[in-house]
Amino acid sequence: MTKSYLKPCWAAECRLQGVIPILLDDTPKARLEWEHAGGIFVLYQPPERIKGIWDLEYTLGSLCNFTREWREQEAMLGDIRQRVWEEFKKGLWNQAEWVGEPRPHTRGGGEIMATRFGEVVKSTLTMVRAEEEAARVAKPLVTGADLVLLGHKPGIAFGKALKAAKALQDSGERDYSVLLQTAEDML
Amino acid sequence: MKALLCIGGLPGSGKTTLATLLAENGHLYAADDYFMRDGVYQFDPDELPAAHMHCQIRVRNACEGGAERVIVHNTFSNRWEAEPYRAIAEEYGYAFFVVTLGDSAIPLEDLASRNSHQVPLDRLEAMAQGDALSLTADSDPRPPWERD
Repeated sequence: MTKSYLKPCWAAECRLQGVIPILLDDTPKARLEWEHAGGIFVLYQPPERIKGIWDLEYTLGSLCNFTREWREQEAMLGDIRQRVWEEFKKGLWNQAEWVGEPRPHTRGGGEIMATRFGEVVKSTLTMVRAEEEAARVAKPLVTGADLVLLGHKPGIAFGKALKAAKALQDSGERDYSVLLQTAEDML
Repeated sequence: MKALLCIGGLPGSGKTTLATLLAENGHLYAADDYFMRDGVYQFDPDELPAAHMHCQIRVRNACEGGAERVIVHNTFSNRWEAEPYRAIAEEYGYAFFVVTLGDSAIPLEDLASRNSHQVPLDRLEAMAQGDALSLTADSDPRPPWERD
């Protein structure tokens, strides 16, 4: 009989609830599926169970470091907090691979997690900035509505004028008045 | 970072041993402590609600006092057992972990013979097979004695 809490669905459900489940087991047979489901596995095998204790301590230390890091930094993340968290959660599914390995003489677990944390923040920031830039570049600063407000009547020349303004914008010009003047000059 | 650890597993799986190894400054609690009278374990199912409440109060006090690591070793085979501790951890800013002792190489018969509280085999089987998705959203977070 498989004890129900050894089943990977247990680990997956815990993860959905925001808890990282840690399984100490005396055989490695549940390990792969457990880790795949997002849990952390520690081999806790007699007669050298002390190695399992070391691994568990290391794991707890790493996770505590991460938790502390997150709590200290989340306020500073501002608008991208949720985005960073989502990115980190993707990575957490692989976290077991770093902290779940039986490594009785491990050192520097906290650094691994801290590095990982910094990497996720950095890559998310890069991603967000790139998306913002793409959106900014893609969105025309001068629109037909602007020209109508200035008293121009929509027509064939309108499209050409807007295209010219957009081309200038895409080439790097960010000054709205310059772009608007470019469009107006063509009408 | 302060941490609250819930160590779960079937009776006989070694929760108390593990908890003792991990405990710092004696912040080690279990609902079973309530049933220890003059060094003798005297379990009374009617007193389970009081035992769990007693354990939760002591854990809360430890967290309120700023203990670096607080360990609770109950079976944690149901959501309602873990939920109050998660709430305490959140309230006092503790990192919260659930550590489960698998003991998959040990047959239930052996666990039944070695657990210190004489939990019988049929009860162990029910616990192993039963409502063990302890933290799932659809399992009942209330203890059985508070349900309709």
